[in-house]
Amino acid sequence: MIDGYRIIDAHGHVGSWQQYGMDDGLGGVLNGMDRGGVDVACLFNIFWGEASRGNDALAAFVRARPDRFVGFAFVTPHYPEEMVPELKRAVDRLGFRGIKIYPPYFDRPVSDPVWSPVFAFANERGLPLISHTWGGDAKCCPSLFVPLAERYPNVSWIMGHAGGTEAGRKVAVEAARKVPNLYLEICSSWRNPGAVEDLVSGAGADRVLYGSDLPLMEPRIHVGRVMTADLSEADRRKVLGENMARILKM
Amino acid sequence: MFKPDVPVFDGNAALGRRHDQRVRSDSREGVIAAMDRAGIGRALVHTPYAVTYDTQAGNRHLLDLIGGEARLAPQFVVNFTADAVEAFAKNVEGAGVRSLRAFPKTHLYPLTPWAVGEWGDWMAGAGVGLWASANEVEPRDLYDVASAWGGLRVVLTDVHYVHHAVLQPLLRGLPNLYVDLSRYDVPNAVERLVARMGPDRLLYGSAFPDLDPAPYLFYLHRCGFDRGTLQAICHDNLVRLLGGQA
Repeated sequence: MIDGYRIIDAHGHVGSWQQYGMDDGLGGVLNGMDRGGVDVACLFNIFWGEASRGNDALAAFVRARPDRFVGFAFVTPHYPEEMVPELKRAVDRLGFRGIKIYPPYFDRPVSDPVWSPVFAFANERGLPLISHTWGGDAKCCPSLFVPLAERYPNVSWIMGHAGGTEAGRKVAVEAARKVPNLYLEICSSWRNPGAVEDLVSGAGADRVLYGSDLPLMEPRIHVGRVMTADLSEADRRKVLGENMARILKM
Repeated sequence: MFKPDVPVFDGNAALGRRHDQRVRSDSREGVIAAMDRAGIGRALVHTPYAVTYDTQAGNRHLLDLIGGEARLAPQFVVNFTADAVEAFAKNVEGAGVRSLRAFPKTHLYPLTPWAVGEWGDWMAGAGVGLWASANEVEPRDLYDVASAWGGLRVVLTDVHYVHHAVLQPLLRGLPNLYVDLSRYDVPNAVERLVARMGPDRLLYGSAFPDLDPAPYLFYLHRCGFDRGTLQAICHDNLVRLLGGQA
């Protein structure tokens, strides 16, 4: 917690990606969270071809500090027959509370029917679902999420990176204005001046979520983006944690 | 609203219009307003026209844009294969410029010792620093140039997590290499660098107007550094690098 704000990170990873300096050691992850005032982080493990292996590694990580971490299940569309059984296992047995998908990672657009069972499962269970999004990417452009949000209304659709670039953010805001269950998560290397303010003024403070991409990117920088943005205190509180707490029913 | 606890000298900013997009702050007044908002006292600035089209006309334009504003320190853009060192050196001296910024990829040459040539002798001798973006230079070339002129102080800018793998060996091998932190997002990276090699070769930069200057300052203030370390990174190292007294 920082200056009285409860902070929930909507976008974090577990796993190692050595060439980028990404290290998911518990101490390193908690150092950035603690010094940045982040109370809770939503995490997923997207690196293993065997989704269950990644989900098990994540479960062990969450078990180490269940007060600080929330697990999101990950599945791979390369093995579609495994997806729903693995989701059931991850939610019912591992205690995960959301789903992560990454369409360009698998070269499968979010509009590909292969994902439909995942979306139906999330809709049936009322789970949040976060996806990588990027403006101009035919596999995960924010505009592709509008019909999905309409078709699966019980899902809180979280657009990771909110379209990524300055141009992508404009597309993401337009998408969020069309449906009530699309959310904009802020993390990106494109930290343009005014980016957070634009998301809030465009889509409303209730629809913007703090996220960092930890431990690929430094959470304190993204906390700083919200803390130094020209927002009302009430809106800052929503973006930093209140909105995600509502989505997670925390 | 967060404000820095130490004086801040931004080592990586730009001033002026671009041909390909309208940035939020392209005027002297706009840059100063952004600096005030983030709590930045001074900024080292170059101008985009000098990068894309013409170094000498762009550098002259930069001085006009700065208009004598003491909070903006001019940084000239150099094209080692197109500019003439003697004439350029006179302009640098006349304008009180203490650093140059090279864009080898944009200017279509490799940043090798044979391309830098007599520029390296002059810059090392005159104490003029060289800034180059990690997106503009091959690590091997950077290593060769910084090794060839040990007295040349080189600042690698725009380091991102995609450059993380080469940054560590470059810093180990090149005592005259400095790092602009503006885009270095790797978690705990600054703490780890300070623990390994001390703070003296780390420079706060904003990458303004592409990036918001304040969040990285917020991060640096939440690393648990003592005041001396924080001030070195945010201010003193750059002052010294430009030949001043911190």
